[in-house]
Amino acid sequence: MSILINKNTKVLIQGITGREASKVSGEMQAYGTKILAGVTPGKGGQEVNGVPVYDTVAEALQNHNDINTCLTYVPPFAAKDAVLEALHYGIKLIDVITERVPVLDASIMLAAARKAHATIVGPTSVGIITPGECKIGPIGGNNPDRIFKKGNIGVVSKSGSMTNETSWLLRQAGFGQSTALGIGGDVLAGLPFPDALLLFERDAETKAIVMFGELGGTYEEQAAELIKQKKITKPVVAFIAGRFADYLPPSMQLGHAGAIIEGGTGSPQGKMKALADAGAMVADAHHEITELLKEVI
Amino acid sequence: MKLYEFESKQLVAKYGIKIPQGKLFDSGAAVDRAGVVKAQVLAGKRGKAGAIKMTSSVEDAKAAASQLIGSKVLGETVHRVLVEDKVDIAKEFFISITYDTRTKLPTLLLSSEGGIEIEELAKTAPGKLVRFGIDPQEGLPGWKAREIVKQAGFAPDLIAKVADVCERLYRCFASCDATIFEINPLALTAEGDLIAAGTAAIIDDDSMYRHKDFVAMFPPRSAFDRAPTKLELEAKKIDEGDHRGIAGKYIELDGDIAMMTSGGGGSLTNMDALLKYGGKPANYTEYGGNPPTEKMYKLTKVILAKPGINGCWIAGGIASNTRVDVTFEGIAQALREMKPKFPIVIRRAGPGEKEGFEIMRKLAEEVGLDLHLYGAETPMTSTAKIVVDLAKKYQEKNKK
Repeated sequence: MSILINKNTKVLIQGITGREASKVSGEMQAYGTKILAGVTPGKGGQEVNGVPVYDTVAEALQNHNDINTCLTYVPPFAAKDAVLEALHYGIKLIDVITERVPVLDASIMLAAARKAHATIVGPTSVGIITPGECKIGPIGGNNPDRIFKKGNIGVVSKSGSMTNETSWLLRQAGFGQSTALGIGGDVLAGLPFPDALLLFERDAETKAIVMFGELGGTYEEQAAELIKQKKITKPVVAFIAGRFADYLPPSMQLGHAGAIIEGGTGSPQGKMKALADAGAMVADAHHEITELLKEVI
Repeated sequence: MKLYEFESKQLVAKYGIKIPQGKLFDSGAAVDRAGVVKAQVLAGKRGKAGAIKMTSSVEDAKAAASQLIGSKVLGETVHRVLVEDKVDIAKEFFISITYDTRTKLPTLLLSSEGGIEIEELAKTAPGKLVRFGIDPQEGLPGWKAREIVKQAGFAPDLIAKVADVCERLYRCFASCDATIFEINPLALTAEGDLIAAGTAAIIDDDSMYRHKDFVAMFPPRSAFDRAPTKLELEAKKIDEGDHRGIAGKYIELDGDIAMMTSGGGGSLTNMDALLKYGGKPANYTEYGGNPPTEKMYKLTKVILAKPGINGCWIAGGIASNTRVDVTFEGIAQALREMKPKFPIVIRRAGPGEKEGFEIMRKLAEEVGLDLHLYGAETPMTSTAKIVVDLAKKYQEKNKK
C-alpha cells in the first residue's frame, strides 16, 4: 500500500499553468499519475498537457468529483489562500511544493487542515513518490525510474534534493523505496518526522525507515521520543545535516527556513544524540547510511 | 531578520504599547540626554556584557556612549546607542510570542516574574511560566488574554492591563510577521503603568515582500550579525529582480576550499562532509531552483574572487529540475575567464548532465584546468575527501 499516494490517487494541480508546474505535470503523467484537472484563476478553459484548467477549485471538483489529492504549485503570496480553498472543498491530502511561505501563513494553513482532518505535506515539499504507482511533484525529475524502484524502505527528508540523493544511495546498494517524500524544512511542517514515521510504521510494505534531518526545530527530537516509546518499532537510520554550523555564530539562517538555532535547541548534535539514545542508527557522513541499513535489514 | 532593540520598540509603540522615552545616537558627542545608555547590537544578554550603562548626567551619558560606540559587544561592532529615561520599576514581567513547533501554533509565554533571568526561571520554576497556543485564524481576543493572564497568577488589579498588552503584542506579532516578539521586562511602574522596557524581535524573512516599509525602516543586516562583506553584497545582487532560481546566497567564511554546492540540504550535507575530512570551506552557498546561466556565471565569479583558494568543490545530488548543462555553462564561462590553477572536483547529476560534463571536459582541455569529474555512481559526500586531499597537495606544491 505504502503511504499517502498510490494507483488510486487522483490529482488536482493548483497553479498548473506556471512554468515549473506545467513541466512537472508532464513528468507526473509520464510516470502514470492521474492528473484530472488544474486550477489557475483566469485561465479556465485552457489545457496543460491535455489536462483541463479551471478558474476555481469548486468548478474543477464539479467536473471531476473523484479528485482526492491536491498539488499546490503557486507563488508564496498565494499559497495560504490556495490551500484554504482546497480544504474548504474537502480535499484531504494537499502537497505544497511552494517554498518561502511566510510562517504565519503556514500556521494558518496547518490550523485549517487540522480542523478539516486533512493532511498537508510541506510547505517546501519536493513531492511524494510511491514507486511503480504514483509520483506527485518534481521528486525524481524527468527520470524517476533511475532513482526510485519499488521496495521496502521508507524515505523521509526535510531537504528536496536530498530526498533524491538519499533514495539514490539506497538504490545503488540494492534497496528500493516503499514511499519517498520531501516534508520540507520549514519551521512549521504539515507532516513532520513524527507523523511520517507513524505512517511508515503502520504500512505493511515498509520494513525500515531512512530519515534525512537538519538543524533547527524539534521534529527529529519528537521522532526520537516516539522511537523511545516504542510507538515506532521498525529500524530507523538517520542522517542529520548542519553540524558545520557549530563553526559559525548562532542565529544564522541556513538551508531552510526552519534551520535556525536559538539558544542551543535544535542543534544537529542534539538531534543525533536523541535519536541514537532512542535506538535509531545515526550516520556520520551521508554516504554511510547504506552500511547502517545493511546491518538492520 | 533580527531587529535591533530600538526597531522592535518602534513597532510595539505603533500598536499602543508604552515604551520608555528615548533617543538614538551614533556618536558620544551627539548625546544630549542622561539615562540608560544601551548599545544597539543584535545579540541578547547585553547587560551581562556591560553594554547597558546607567547614567544620571549628560556628561556621563556622553562618556558611556563614546566608550560603547565603535567597540565590539558580543561579536558585533556597536554603531548606535539608545539613551532612555530610566524606568522606575516596581515589578517586572515577561511576555513572549513565538511559534511552537510541537503544536504548530503561535504561542504566548507569560510570567509574572520577568527580567533577564527568564531562562533560569524556565528551569527552576517552570510552573511560573505559562504557555498558551493561539489559533492563528482567530487571533487573541481580549477575553482570552484575560483568562491566560489570570491563569499566570497576576494580581486582580493587573489582569486587564497585562491582558491588554498581550492582545496588542499579538496583533503586532501577526501584523509584522514576526517569528518571535518578546517584551522582557514588561515593567510595572509605581504609578501603575506598564512599560515595555526591553524588547526583542525577529521578522520572518519570507514575509518581507509584504512589508515594503520595513525595507526602508530596517537596513539589511548580515547572517552573522556583522556587516555584510563586499563579496556578500555582490552576491546578493544576483537574485535581485530575477526570480528564476536562486544563485545569490553566499556567506563568506575563512577557509580555502571554494564551495559551489546546490540544494539547501545538499549544501549542509556537503559542508559537514568537508569538515569531517579536515577541509575548511571558503564560503557557504546553496544554489537551486534551476537558475539561469547568467546567474551561475556571476555566482562563480564571486566565489572564486576570494583570495587564497586551494581547491573548488562543485557538488550536488541528482537534480530534479535544475539543469546541469545550463548551470555548468555559467560556471564554465567564469572559469574560462579566471583560468584557476587549483584543482576542481565536480560531483553532480540530473537533467542535462551529459551535456554539462561535456562542457566542463572541453573547457578543461581548452584552458588547462585540473578537473576531476564524478557522476551519480560516486556517492556525493565521498568526493569531499577527494577535494580535501587534492587541495592539500596543491597548497603544499605552491609553498615550494
